[in-house]
Amino acid sequence: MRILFSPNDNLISEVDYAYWNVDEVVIPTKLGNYTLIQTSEDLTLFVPTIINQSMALNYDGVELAIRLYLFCVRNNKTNIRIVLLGIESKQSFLMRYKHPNIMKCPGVDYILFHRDLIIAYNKPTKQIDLDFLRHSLDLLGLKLPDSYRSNHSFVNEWCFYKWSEFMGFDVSSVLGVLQGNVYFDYLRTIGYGTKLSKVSQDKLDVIKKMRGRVLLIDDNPFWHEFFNNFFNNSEVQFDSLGCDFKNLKVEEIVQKCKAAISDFDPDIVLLDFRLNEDNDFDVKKRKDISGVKVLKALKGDSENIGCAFGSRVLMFTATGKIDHVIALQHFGADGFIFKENPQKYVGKASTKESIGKMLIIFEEMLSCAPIAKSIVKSFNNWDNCIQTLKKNYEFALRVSHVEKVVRTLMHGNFLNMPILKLIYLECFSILESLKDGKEDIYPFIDRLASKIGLDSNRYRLWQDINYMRDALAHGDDTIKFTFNRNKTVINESILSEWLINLCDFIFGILDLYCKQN
Amino acid sequence: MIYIFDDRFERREAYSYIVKKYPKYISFETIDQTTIGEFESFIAERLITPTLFLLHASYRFVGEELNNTRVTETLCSWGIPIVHFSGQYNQPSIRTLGKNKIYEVNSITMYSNLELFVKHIINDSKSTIEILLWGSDYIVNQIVATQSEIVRVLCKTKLSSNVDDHIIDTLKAIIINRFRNEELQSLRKNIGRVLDMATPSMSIGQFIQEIQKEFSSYNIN
Repeated sequence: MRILFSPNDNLISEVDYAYWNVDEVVIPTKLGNYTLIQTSEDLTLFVPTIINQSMALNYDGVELAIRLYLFCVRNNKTNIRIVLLGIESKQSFLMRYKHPNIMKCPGVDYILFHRDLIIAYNKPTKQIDLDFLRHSLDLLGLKLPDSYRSNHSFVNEWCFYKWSEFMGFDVSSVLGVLQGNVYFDYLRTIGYGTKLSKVSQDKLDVIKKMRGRVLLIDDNPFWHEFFNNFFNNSEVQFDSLGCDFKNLKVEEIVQKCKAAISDFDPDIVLLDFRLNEDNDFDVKKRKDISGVKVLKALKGDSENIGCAFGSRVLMFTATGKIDHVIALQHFGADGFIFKENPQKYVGKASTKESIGKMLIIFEEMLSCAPIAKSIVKSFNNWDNCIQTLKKNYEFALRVSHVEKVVRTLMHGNFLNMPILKLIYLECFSILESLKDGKEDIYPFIDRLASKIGLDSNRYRLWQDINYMRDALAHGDDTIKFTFNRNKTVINESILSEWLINLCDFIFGILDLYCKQN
Repeated sequence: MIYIFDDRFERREAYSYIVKKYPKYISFETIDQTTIGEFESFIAERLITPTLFLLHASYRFVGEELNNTRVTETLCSWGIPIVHFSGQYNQPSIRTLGKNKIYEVNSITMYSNLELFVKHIINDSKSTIEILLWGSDYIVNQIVATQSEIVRVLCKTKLSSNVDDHIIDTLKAIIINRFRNEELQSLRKNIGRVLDMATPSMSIGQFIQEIQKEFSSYNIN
């Protein structure tokens, strides 16, 4: 079967197939899903190298030829011949076209675009080894778009496609965009998307059990769609913003993010690195990138905390640059979720690994966000109390110092056992600072209790708080509470719970103390 | 200042980011006057140091007095280059309107090249309008597009048949409005020479070879 692709109807009409000695004339815009070439017959495709003359250097006809070639390989069709119809000598074409190795692909030929030559062309097709065909595709040298902006956009769309396919979500929204990109076709053809594994039931069960509040800040609407679907069957409350960021200045973006944090009070913030393409690809300094500015506003530092200091902020990024990652950690990012990049593909398990890692980080962050937010809330309560004390009062200084130390420990660190222990002991030191001289803390609190009227419940709580302090200071793994004769293993969950109890107790003491003073 | 007269507001919205980025260099304007007099006043009062007018060739004017020709003539009186853009233009060309040159370009091509064109203006105030019409590789793009057009003219004529006046005139009409840049003058001259020397005794096949030789030798140089 011989098919001629016509640049336009005026030049070669669909009805002129006999005049050109072909079986069909096809206008490329009417090609559809390539069903026409899904035939078992030997196939010869005549494709002009240039279809749209206004962008002649793009050689859009050759790109069409490559896509036809890729389609045939994907469908195991090996009895094909593609004849490029050129407007210049072959030498000239090879010098100008960006992928000259197309002429090394088996079954590809080049003739001048002329009727006589098309009619005379009669080279037979022959079966080509499929593996050899696939290997020759690598020779083409297809790669990600050159410009950083197009590159970044493609990586996002590719990752969305891979992850959505893996999770079983609908991908029609992104396919319409990706199918305009020949590199995507190439990736699908060499197997980076055609035989993806699907998410397992146990991973879906993990998602189902998640609970908390997640806020996505990303200017790409595909990710809003993805995470909406991702958390749909879980207890997670999900919200997102960023689709209109393209029209905003960076300062306006920061304000919008702050307002959303204040309204939604998320446990996790998923924050994109580049929220405004027009700004971000032109900036010279990393600190001026929109995602960095938002991160700094959300996290602040130990001296001046940001509005989302207690929330866990995860950078959601395609960046592969290690210096970006280090800098973002320095600015307070609590973790990273890296988008898959086709150039850094290391095997078909990559999507499964990426999603697996993402689930682990979500679980960890959702579990420690409540304690982090509680600590921040406690500090706010303490600050309200100590403001009533005289500014030069030593105790007030001590509390401020402890807050600063704890914030430093929390800034950019995962709240694991060692960090929680340090925070506990640091907070406990506030109580110790209340006593005079070398008096032991226990009798001191006894006296304080009677002096400031500590109620019996709070007094019992105090005993266990003190036991916990002793256990941590001595490096014990277990504790015997007053209400439980059995030894309890001190794990992150128990320690987090008692850290909150300690903070509340301190607030109670401070409140009473300040009222008395 | 580059003034863009585009009545397709959705398209203006889509490309407004370029205007926002370079407000000192580009501006969208709307022609809602009903008489030529009003339009002339509008230009005189509102437009500041225009350097280029980009007019949508199918602009829908208000009232009957204004049309593409009259508006273009009015703009021509400023002595500033004018570019008509439309989805109906396949590739860039130049036509004359009296003593004035009007450039024509496809709308998508124009907007695709606009930001690049402005950046060139900022870096080099003598930036050539060919960048707007043909993109950054405007020299090679013109050459390739012209070759493509020539091949399409000849692709249905038997290789063994002879060159005739109709073919020569058609090709001359293509070449006459191309290769206006200084860098392409020699190519224009050489192609013109081939066209002048073509005789009925020459076959189409030979003629194509002569033309291709000129294009190829230009590439090597």
